[in-house]
Amino acid sequence: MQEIRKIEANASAAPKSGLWGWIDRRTAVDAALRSALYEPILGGARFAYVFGSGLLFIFIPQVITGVFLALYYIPSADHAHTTVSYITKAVTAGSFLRSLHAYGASAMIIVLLLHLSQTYIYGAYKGPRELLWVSGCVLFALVLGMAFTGYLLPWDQRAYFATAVGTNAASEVPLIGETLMRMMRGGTEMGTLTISRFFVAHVFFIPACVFVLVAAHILLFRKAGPAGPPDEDPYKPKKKAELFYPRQVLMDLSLTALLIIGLGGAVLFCSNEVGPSSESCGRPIHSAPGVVLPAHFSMAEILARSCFRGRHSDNPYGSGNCGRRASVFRSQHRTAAMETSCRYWSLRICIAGTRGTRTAQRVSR
Amino acid sequence: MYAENSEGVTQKSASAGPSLQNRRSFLGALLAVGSVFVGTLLSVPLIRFALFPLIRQTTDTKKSPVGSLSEFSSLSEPAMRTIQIEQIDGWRKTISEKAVYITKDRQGQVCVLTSICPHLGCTVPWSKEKKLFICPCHGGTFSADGSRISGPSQRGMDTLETTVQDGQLLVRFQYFRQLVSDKEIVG
Repeated sequence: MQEIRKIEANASAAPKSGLWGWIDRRTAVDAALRSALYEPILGGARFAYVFGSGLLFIFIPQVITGVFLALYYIPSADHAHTTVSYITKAVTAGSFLRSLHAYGASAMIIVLLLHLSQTYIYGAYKGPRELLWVSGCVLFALVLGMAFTGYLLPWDQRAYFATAVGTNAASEVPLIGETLMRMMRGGTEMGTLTISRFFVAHVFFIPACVFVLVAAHILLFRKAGPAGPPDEDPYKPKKKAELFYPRQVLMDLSLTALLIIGLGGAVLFCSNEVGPSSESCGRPIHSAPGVVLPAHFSMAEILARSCFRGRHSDNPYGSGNCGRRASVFRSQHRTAAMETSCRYWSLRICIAGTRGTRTAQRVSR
Repeated sequence: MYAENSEGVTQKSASAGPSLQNRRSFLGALLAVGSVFVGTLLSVPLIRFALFPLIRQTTDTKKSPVGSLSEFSSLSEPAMRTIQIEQIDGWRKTISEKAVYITKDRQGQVCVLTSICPHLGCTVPWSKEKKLFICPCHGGTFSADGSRISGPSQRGMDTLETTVQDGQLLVRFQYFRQLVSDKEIVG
């Protein structure tokens, strides 16, 4: 493996000319690029390895579209829904960018789950990659946090009730639950302080943590190198290696192309509409039974409730009309979604699958 | 053609070196061009999104009444009136009041001047003592018909488009570019 690195090192040592040479002499970008592209992959290139690069590809457009959406968005109960409607209905390409941001968030969670599953099934969490695994798990939590905080920002009824359910699920945590919920909401009620807090978490706090952890994750990956197939010895690799470029790059790009086509098609043919304002919750809400929470919220809620079931069985979502309606919605949601929906069974299948994989790994050892 | 080195890294044999490098360089160039193309394509909606306020009409172009024309037929000096215009400020529609001066041009015809200084946008008041428009910011002076007398401004005060309907004088309020010698509408 050292030999092939030397070959590439010699190739990079050749003097470059022109603009690229001028830039390279000042930044050593060519050597960095070669170091990244000519990473040996134990066992050769595989489609199973494409999800990490895919995540990076989705994350960058999320940042870009998010920054552009912030040009028009105002995080207050008075203006949030109006500004999102303005973006969607008035601003040129606003609906496209907002839909791309919304669908990109869902795609990111799906790809993240695939990446996590691949890492787990391939046993890539084992030594010496423990820190890589831990940083990935923290990143997973942060991405869920991004999705959760971003969901409220349009301040429509769906966002309002989803966050009411989410923050109430947080109140189920022993000892600190109530404090946690009030800290998230900025008080007992959901209102302009909730939006402000969620906005700050969504655009400043969590992204800063994500950037730091992504850098650490990539650094740790560069240090440990690719893990290779499940049956590979992580300390004394025996499998044949293949360079990252070109085959693995092409495989990664195929997922990227798939994501571009998939997201582009979804955005063009089924744009993400903004719902009725949550300010209308003083009036009868006919749309409440039809409000559907994202799958990851339901899973998080199921996990929270299964862990801390019964602690706050009488815990209201908040006082006032909106709170009572949310409470009704919650019971409807619990009945309809938690006990009979496909998501509930999907989660059970996931858990069973995870247990099965773990057992299979034990047997293979 | 493929060979395995001492540590098991699959690579092409040395004899295929230059050809391999050429193919990889070509593929790299192809990927770079493709990435730039896709990136450029995806940046189009971003640019259109960011530049939206530049192409959007932000001021109502409807004409506002300033009073009866007969009221201004015997003007001896410019008279200030306020008109209401609807402005679109992002998602908000606001009604704002703007000051205009009704005066007579050199031919003795009634005309309407905007009170916004063509130098840097301060509001120019009429001085009854000096019989001049005097800008309080940089001392620019204009005659009663709005033509430039002195100061840093490169042109006289801007006249607004007017019409007479049923004896009523109507004016279309507009903004003009400052710091230039020719009158140029900006909104």
